[in-house]
Parts: sequence; structure tokens; C-alpha cells
Amino acid sequence: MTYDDAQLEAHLKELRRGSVLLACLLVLRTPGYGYGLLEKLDEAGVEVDANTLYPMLRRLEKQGLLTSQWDTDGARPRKYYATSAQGIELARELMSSWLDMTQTLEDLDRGDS
Amino acid sequence: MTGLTDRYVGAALRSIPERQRADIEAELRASIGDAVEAKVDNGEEARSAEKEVLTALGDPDRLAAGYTGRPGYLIGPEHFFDYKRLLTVLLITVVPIVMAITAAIQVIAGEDVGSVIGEAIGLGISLVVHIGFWTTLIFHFVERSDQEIGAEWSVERLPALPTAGSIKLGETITSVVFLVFAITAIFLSRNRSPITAADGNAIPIFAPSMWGFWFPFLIGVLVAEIVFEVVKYRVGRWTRGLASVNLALNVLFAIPAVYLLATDRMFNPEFVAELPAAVPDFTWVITAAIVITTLVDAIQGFRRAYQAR
Repeated sequence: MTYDDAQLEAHLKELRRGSVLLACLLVLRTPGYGYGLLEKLDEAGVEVDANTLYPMLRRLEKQGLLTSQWDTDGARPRKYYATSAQGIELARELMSSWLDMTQTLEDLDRGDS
Repeated sequence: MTGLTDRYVGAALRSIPERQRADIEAELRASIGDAVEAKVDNGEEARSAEKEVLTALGDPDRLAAGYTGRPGYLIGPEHFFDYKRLLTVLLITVVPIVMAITAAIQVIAGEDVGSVIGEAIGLGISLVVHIGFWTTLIFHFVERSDQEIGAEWSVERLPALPTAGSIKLGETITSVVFLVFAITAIFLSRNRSPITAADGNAIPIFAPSMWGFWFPFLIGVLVAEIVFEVVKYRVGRWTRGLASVNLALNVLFAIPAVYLLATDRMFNPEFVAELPAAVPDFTWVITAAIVITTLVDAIQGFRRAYQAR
């Protein structure tokens, strides 16, 4: 074995960093609230900690990529986030870069770059 | 909800600005509530579910730092090495020099060697603490102000190659730290002195009449020099204008100082009287030192302004 689990974990974390943001923007095209989003991402296989996700939602809102609305009808008031038009545009841009990157990596892997 | 969540939310909100607090609190409580509920629905016991959820959220201070975007450090990697270098230099130069000078004055004044050593050690410890604290504080402000300016980098923002005329951060901070020490020393000299009278009161080294006008004036000049150092750093290099201001500040300090020394108004006659006869008249040495450093510093300013063109 050439690497240990901790090393693998650290590198995976690094690799996933950018993907969480993109995943959020994609999922929140349907409005959702903090914990609900966490669950959805978890089910989809996107690993993210609650303490990373919640502050990130606010940052994205501040940047105008998400909009938010309080829903006080339910038993528990919840803040619903939705991807803004600007956010959708950004997501599309990021998505195409992501796919390009996948293609590039595959090419490199095959060795015909 | 039990007390644990309240305590967690309270701890997280502490460092969050007032106007965001209500909103973040409501959202955080809802998220914690949702997570606990999901675990309880899975058949877990409420208390342990809450504990698990809060543990997973981690240190509330770290969570708050995520919300506010504030970094969890005093001095970042950008300035750390400057900080370390300056702190080392200050500690290995200022501390022993000040300790040695103070001890020497006391020994000359005929104090008991044991108490001189004891006081020197005490002075050394408080110097170390002060130097450490003030240097760290200044660097921390530099770090913060850098973040507020924002890191929008472009080639235009590349620093000029260091030339004789450009101002380095370490240089600025060293000057500011020394000026702060000078001001502190003047204030402390009012009721602390290496020489004490028979009744145990300190005999101030400077004449008490100095506090009427001249010390406030000289301290004002020193504060102006601190402002000047900061402005000079912002400008980034010596200019003719800065060199002129530097000359003016030097003159504003040196002329009164030399005048006061020459007319024997600077030092406390009682202090001078306590010195043994073997100590020569040091007024001329100090006068010469002031004149030379003033001239060198003023000329240096113009020389570097010329080189920076």
C-alpha cells in the first residue's frame, strides 16, 4: 500500500471541495432548507459536513447566487433557499467546465493527451 | 428542546454581528431541530440524538467563523515570517540593551548589586511581555486591514522590486514599535526611576517642569512620526514630499531637545545630584547623538527619495 486512509481522505476532501457548491446550485433549483438539502446531498453521494454547508448557503445568498425566503407555516420556521437566475447561469458554466475536466482527465489517463 | 442546544446556539452566536444574529439563530435552531427529529424518527433517544447532532456540527466558534468569514488566526502566512523575524530581532536587541543600561545606571548610583540584578530581571520579563504583545497587535491589524482591502490581484499591483527607496513593512513596524516604546518610556519616567530618594520615592530622571509644555509637545511630535511612518508605508517609497516632512519632524524634535539640554532644563537636578561625581557630564554626548541621528535620518530621507525616482 502506497498511501494510508488519512491521506486518501485529505485528498478526496480537496477534490470534492468545489463540487459541493455546484451540487448545491443544481439541487436548489427546487427550493429547499438547510437540513433537507444536507439529506438530499447525502443521498446523492455528495459528502459534506453540516458546519460547512450552512455557512456556505449564506455566502452564496450574499453573492446573489441563491435567494431565500422564510416559511413560517410549518411546525418549525424554516429558511428556504432557491438558486437564482444568476446561480443557474453559474451552475451551467461550472457544469460544462466540470465535464471538460473529466474529459481531460480521461484523456490523460489513457495517455493520448 | 433541552439546554444543550441553547448553550450551543448561544456559544455560536457570541461572535456573530448583532444584525445577523436573529436570522442565523432561527436557521441554526431549525437545522438542529430537523436533524434531531430525523434521528428520533429513526428510533434514537432524544437526548443522545441531540448530543450527536451537536457533536457533528463541531466547535461552535469554528461554525461562527464560517458564518462571518473571519479567519481563525491572528497572523496569516503572508506576514508570519516578517512577524517572527521582527519579534526575534526586538527581543534579542532591545531587552538586553535596556536591561544593561538600567542596571548600569543603578550600579553607578551605588545601589546594592543584588537588588539591581533582581530589578533587571523583572524589567526584562515585562519588556518581553510588552514587545510580544505590541508587535503581535500591530501585525494583527496589518493582517486585518489587508483582508479588508481585498485581494483583487492584478499585475499592476505587483510590488516594485525592492530598491534603496522602497519602504519595507518590517522597517515601518520596527520604527513604529520604537516610537511607541519612546512614548511609553517618557510616560513611565514620571513616576519610575532607577534611583530612589531616601524616603523610597522615585527621583524622576527628567525635570518635572518638562510636563508643563515640552513633554506634551515632544510626545505630539513622536505621535506625528508614527502617523508619518504609516503614511510612508502606504505611499510605498520615499518621495521628496515625504523627505521634507521627515526633515520637518526631525527638526521639530531635535531643536527643542537640544535647546532643553543646552539650558539644563531637560534633566531633573535632583537626579543629577544623586549621580556620583565620577559620572561625567553626559549632556554633550546626548546632544551630539541627537544632532547626528537627526542629520543622518533627514539626509537619508532625501537620498532615498532621489534613488527611488
